[in-house]
Amino acid sequence: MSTKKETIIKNKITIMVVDELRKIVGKDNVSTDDLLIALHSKDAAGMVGKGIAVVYPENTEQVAKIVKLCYEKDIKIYPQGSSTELSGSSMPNGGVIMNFGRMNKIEEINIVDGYVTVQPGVRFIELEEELSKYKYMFPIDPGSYRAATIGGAINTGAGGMRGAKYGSIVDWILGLEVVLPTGDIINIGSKTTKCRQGYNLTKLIVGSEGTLGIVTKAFLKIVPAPENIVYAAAFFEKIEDAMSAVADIKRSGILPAIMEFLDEDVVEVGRKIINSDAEGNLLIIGVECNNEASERVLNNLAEILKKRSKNIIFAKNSKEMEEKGIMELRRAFYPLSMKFGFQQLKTPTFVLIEDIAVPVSTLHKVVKAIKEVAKKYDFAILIGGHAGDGNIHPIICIPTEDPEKFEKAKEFYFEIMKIALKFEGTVSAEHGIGLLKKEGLEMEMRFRKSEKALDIMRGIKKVFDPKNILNPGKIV
Amino acid sequence: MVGKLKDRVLKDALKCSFCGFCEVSCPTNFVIKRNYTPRGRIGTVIFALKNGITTIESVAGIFSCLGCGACVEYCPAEIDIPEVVRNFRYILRTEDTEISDEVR
Repeated sequence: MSTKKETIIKNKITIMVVDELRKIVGKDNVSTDDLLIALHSKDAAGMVGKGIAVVYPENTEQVAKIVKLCYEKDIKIYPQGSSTELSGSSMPNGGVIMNFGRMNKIEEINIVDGYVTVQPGVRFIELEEELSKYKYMFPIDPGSYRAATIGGAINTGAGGMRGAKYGSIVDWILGLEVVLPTGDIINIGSKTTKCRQGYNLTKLIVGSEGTLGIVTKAFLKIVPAPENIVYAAAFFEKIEDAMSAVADIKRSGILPAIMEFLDEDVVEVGRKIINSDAEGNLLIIGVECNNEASERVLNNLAEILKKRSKNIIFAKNSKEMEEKGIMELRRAFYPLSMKFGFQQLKTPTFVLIEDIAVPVSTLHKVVKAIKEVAKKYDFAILIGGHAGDGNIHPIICIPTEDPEKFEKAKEFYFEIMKIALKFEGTVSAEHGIGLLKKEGLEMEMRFRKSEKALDIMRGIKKVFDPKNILNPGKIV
Repeated sequence: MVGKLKDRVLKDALKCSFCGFCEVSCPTNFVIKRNYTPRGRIGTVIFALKNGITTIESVAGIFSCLGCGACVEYCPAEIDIPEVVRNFRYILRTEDTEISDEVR
């Protein structure tokens, strides 16, 4: 509890800092409007924070000056992309909110060297549109790609729909420009695919949720877009059969880019999209190949899937896939969950998405275990996710205005995290730790008898940020 | 009359999960400040009708909506955002909320 005198001093410092911020970025790029701050302190995971100002820097130099100012005055900084991370990692708690909406330029596309240079505020959809002009792509493809920014995804360690082949974003960052909490600017990694630069600080920053430094520029690895993708959407009566089909495909030597899963309830709600009366648990497979090989690959895929599924929709290329609505149904997982929640609860609904990863070979057991726990809690649950890399997203819907149910949901998700650990998985696959998974991370390290790793993480935080001004309270 | 409208508008706005899928389609998104985006406008409506907070800047965001409906296609909650904004403008005018000439 602050004394009256302390509060007055605090307010004076705040006014002074806001004045200084205006000098750095111009008065239009700083706001202390209560409601605008509130809008930047809310996220898609239902969390609500607070801040003293929102600042919109336009370049790295401005970021460095702001950080230096805040470091000197002991003001917390909360870097922010589009707040779609679902773990509370960009949630502010009383300091300056630094939004990267104005740093949204694609600076360079270099096809020969295979990289693109982007500012943190570039959205995935914008990058995809630009790269498609060169028949290239950045393979990371989060479900929220319309809204998510590259900077946010780097800090979250995001993945996406093509994880089965391409992994997550950490595998696709060549180098970063980072502003340290002191205001110093460092360039780590390089524009080359091979780079041995001592300890790999680039990989350390990826997934650090803005707690170690502020990413102001990124060099991303890009690859040619595939000539063709063939698709199969197979329906299975039992979840176990769908998961066994994943294993069959893996054993066959086919390497799909897409191996996505939706359970029967999601299919039921979204059947209109694929214009089919098909029922059951859905597995969507997408394999990249050249035009000449397409028919052969599709036949191989059909042979494997037919062993366990009686109903399969095939698409010879992306155009056919779009006409049949296959990926549209997968991308609609989130909207369909909202629709499902509204149908079930008849009131504005909040969708809570869990994010665990387990070894692919255990998926069928894990899905079964999650369904059993959901019954105990009496939650209507939908399950979907990235079967190819063992990343599943159980979703429950709760009324928007029900804090009691929200607490119950957190308890439920804790049980799901325990299931992930029991099957040698991990509590967070691609949504990050933020605020919601802090206890989960501690539980995981205890489970692994590796609490020392948490001490090391706390030590790293201190080395980077001794005054604890960068996104404090997150991860550890 | 306005009371009932307020309830209906708030009920619609509360369906928003703040996912941000709508933002990139909005012609005023280039302003960057969140109150000039569809999700920001819905947030503004919620803060006003649920928490009783309106500010000059937030109201400016409400009156910047072109009503084009580009956001509607991308809203997972199927909120008719321009309709919510139109009704909220009516509420603001009816209740004589301070609206600067610049945004009228």
